[in-house]
Amino acid sequence: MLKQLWRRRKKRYRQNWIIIKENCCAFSFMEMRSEFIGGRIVKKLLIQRNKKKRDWLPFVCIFPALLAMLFIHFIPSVIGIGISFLNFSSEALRDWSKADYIGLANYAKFFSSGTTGDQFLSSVKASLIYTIASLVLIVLLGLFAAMLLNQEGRVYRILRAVFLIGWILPNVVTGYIWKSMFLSESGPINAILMKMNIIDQPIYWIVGPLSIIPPIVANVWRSWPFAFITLLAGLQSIPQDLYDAADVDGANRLQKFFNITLPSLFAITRVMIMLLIVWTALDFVMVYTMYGYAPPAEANVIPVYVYNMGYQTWDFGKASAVSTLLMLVMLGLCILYVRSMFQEKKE
Amino acid sequence: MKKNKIKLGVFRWISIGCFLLFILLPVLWMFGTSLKSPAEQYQKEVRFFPQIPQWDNYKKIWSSVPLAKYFGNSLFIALCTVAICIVISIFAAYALSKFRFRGRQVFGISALFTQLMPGVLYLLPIYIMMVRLQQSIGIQITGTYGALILTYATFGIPFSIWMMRSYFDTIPNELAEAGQIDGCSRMGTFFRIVLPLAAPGIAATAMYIFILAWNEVLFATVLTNETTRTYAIGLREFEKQYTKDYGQLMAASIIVSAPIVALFFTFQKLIVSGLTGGSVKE
Repeated sequence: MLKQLWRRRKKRYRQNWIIIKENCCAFSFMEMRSEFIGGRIVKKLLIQRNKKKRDWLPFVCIFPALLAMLFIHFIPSVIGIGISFLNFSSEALRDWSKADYIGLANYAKFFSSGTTGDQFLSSVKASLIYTIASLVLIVLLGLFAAMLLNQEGRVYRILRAVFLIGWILPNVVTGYIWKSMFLSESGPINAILMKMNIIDQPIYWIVGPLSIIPPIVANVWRSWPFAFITLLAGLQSIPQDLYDAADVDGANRLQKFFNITLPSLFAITRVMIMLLIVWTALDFVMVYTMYGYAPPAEANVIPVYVYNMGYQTWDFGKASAVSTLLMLVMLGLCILYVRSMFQEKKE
Repeated sequence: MKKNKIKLGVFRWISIGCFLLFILLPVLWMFGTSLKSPAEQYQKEVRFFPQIPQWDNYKKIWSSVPLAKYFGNSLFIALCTVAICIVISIFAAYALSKFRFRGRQVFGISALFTQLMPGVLYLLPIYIMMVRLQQSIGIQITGTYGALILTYATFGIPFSIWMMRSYFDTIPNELAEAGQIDGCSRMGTFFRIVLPLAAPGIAATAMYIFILAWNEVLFATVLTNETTRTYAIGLREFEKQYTKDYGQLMAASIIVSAPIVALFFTFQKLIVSGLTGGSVKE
């Protein structure tokens, strides 16, 4: 009885082995899933076979991408960190031997009191205001719009496409449109506000302490469709059963929103907010298109500050120091992002 | 109950109206301003549409700034970027999706990291590196199309790898296995089975890369010169002119936005209709 069973098993193994042999020849190193491998012995055999020689095809496939990333991402980051320890001016650009090693002096300048330190502080402040205000508005607008348009029907489909307009238009164009709208004399924003009797004097948006507002508005107008689309996808993935169950329990709208909708959106929002923080904090285009090389101090966000330090005053050493600091902050955020992404996968 | 529903409907449509106003007002302003003569732009009373609309701005923009050249440059650079970026990242995405090899995770995560690191952080070092390189080999690098295309393509690579990888993941392995049993080589199955199935995904990725390259400003400011300048920098020249003619600026803005808006609205259909997931029933 036992012998018979064993013989039968052996036979099955042999059959499987033939199939697997075929597969092995054909694509030995493709991702093999355990379900099409019969028994344990065979699996072991397969693994041993795989170990014998290394397959170079995947490495050949990723090689060009790796090479490009090496030259445009990895090497420059190392160079950037290196330069932040040098006194690297425009002369050094022609002849690297003229760049002296000055240790942490570049960094020290930003944390001491002096014009550089003050400028740095004010630009950090501008960046913080810019990022936080944009982020809050983008997420709130996106969430509200997503809840409004989470409906079936032709009208809603067209509206969804229309809502994306801000996202498709080139950034530069968005910047110029909003700049011309915020002009104090000929711009429509002051005109509308004056017609509604909210103000009686034209406000100077483009200069002075309010100058951070136009870039924020332009950035929100450009970026909120991203939040809208992401959150809409999130809303549509929430199973209807949950709401039905809540109906049975007699929950009202508000309860459903806070107990079902928001928690379900949390995972998707986490990743989205991370991306938005990185994009907004390092957004260069809006301030640059509106103010060019000489933004007012209130709107001198860090990316523009770094850019002007590099290409207007030609002090690459100091600019690289700020870049390196920024890179560290962003790296921290990235680690958080990657971790939350993998957590999501596990869930 | 019914009253409540009507109230909700009214609230919904009022909010949608507010959104539409917020979205369309700048677009209308752009269009209206592009029809204004210089005198009308600086009138006391601000109007969205000019009293006497005129199309002169659309004629003048081509001669006051070499817009046609900038437009051509942008188009050329964006198309080359798409081609290079897609070709490079298709293979990498295929490897990440269908092979299991050492370093796969590391490569995937480092691609993700670089995708998140925005260009500002790389701007200075890349510029310095290129200036240094062109001195040591004696060939002009900054200011050429090649430098800009290479930079843009590389900035697109991590993103397109991840995007196409998720498309390749949806193609069941059974299909590739079937191809292999019928005698395709591993690259053969890729070209004959995986690629055609992933075509909509690749098209969508290509569109994103095109938008990325078309909209880029930062690197264009330092890596271009008069002959290779893209429109994103060229638009500044309308503002620099001492008359500050916003009519011409807005007319040019409409012209440069047109390709991308057209692309988006054509692609929307393709993305919806092209999702051929489930060609093998699991």
